[in-house]
Amino acid sequence: MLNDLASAVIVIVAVLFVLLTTIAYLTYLERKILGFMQDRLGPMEVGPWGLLQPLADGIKLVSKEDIIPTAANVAIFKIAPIISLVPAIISFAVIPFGKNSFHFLGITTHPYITDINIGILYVLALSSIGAYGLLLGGWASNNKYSLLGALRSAAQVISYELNAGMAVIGVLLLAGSLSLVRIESAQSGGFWHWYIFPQIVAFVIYLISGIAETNRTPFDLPEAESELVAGFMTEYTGMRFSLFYLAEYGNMVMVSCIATILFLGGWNSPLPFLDFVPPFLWFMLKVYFFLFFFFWIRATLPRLRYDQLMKFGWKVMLPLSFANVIVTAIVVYMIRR
Amino acid sequence: MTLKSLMKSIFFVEIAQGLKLTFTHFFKKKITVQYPHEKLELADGYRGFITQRRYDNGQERCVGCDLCEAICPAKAIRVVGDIHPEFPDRRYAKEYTLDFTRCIFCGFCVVACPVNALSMTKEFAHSSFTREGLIYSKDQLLALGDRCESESISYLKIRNMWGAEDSGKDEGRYHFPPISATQSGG
Repeated sequence: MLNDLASAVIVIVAVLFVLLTTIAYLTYLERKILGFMQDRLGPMEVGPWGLLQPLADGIKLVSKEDIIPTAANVAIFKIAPIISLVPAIISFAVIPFGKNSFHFLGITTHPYITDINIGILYVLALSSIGAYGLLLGGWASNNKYSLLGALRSAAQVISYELNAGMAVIGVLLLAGSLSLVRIESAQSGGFWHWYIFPQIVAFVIYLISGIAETNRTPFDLPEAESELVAGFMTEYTGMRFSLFYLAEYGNMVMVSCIATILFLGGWNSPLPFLDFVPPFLWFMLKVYFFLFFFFWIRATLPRLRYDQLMKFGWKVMLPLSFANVIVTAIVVYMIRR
Repeated sequence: MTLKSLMKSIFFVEIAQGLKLTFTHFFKKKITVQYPHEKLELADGYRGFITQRRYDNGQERCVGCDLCEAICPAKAIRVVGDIHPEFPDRRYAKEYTLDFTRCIFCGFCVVACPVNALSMTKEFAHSSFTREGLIYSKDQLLALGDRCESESISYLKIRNMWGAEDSGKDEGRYHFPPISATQSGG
């Protein structure tokens, strides 16, 4: 009993540490990658190669004045960033980062916080709750730009969450389980077992929907700088603003983790003779590839128009994901019979 | 929509081309100059801060003729010419102020000056906490000129304004002999 508690605490602390460091350095990584792709150097001043930039940004954001607009709905204004951030972080409870249980201070523990049998459903549910944070924040600011940004983000998140969910179903049919640990185990033994190959359509749909759900370029209409100032975040300053920022980057890591687990085999090594590399490293490698892809896309594509976004979501992605589910279901039924 | 363009959009051909372009730029040499740590070499004709110059014996060249004030398009220069207190046959600038908050660094004053009393340096990073701090008096301009004498000379040479003192090209530029020479002669 005590041993279980201790192991849970160790894993939670480790996951939070890794996650928050990753999020902090994602801001640095994003600026560096964007800079390099635009023939610039990115941040260089704070520390060697600007490596202490996230620390400096954090200190700046915390020490900034906390402004609450007079006309704002204070209670909702204050709670919205928290509603946005908390689901983004607690959904990491079901992510399996590695394969083997390990020993720490004499306590045996496993590399995930919990393995619930509805893992993927839990993640999808929490990501929907996160959208409330943006909506409430945009509404409570009592600012037309915030409200427009919030409405856009609500419409966008709802339309694309549907596609992401439909894309996931294909993988679930193949794996026969909702538990993320079991989905990963089902893909072990070389890269030809990964679900990216039978589910390539679902993979593309999930990736596009993931970018749209996290409000990243080219789907960053909710915070379109050139049209809506900063969308739902317009009235936020200092620490509250940074909470929204953390939530956005947390969601990015989340989408990358899910894409890794569902389509790239999670901690499985691509070739059997590469098994000596720890599974945790394989997992991180794949997650960072997706994160790099996020920034890569941002450096490449311009923002979509709002009607293009909706047309693409409902008229292209949704029928495709439905078709994918139906075809997968029929094939799986034929094979298993 | 033809079949070809349909296939193009299904397989994200154009997006892949864009991704390839940004990825090649990721490894290209960066063009950023880390300014305070590394500086570009400025050309000799660079129009930086304006200086006042002296003759070799330390006598200031300015004769208070007001031509620079007259040509200045930004009205940044103010000259109060007067008879030299020691040498009544000479004029000089009793007051000379150059307002660098107004100056547009066009270099017209340097062109207008008949005695090459003005030139431009490669300095550009002067700053001040007050507006008054950027209104330079004659002494400040002369001090700047003393500090950047070689830059001033190279500016005048590259702009074809190095007159009679050298085998210059602009022979029409009038050259007043230094005061001490006049004094010994008369």
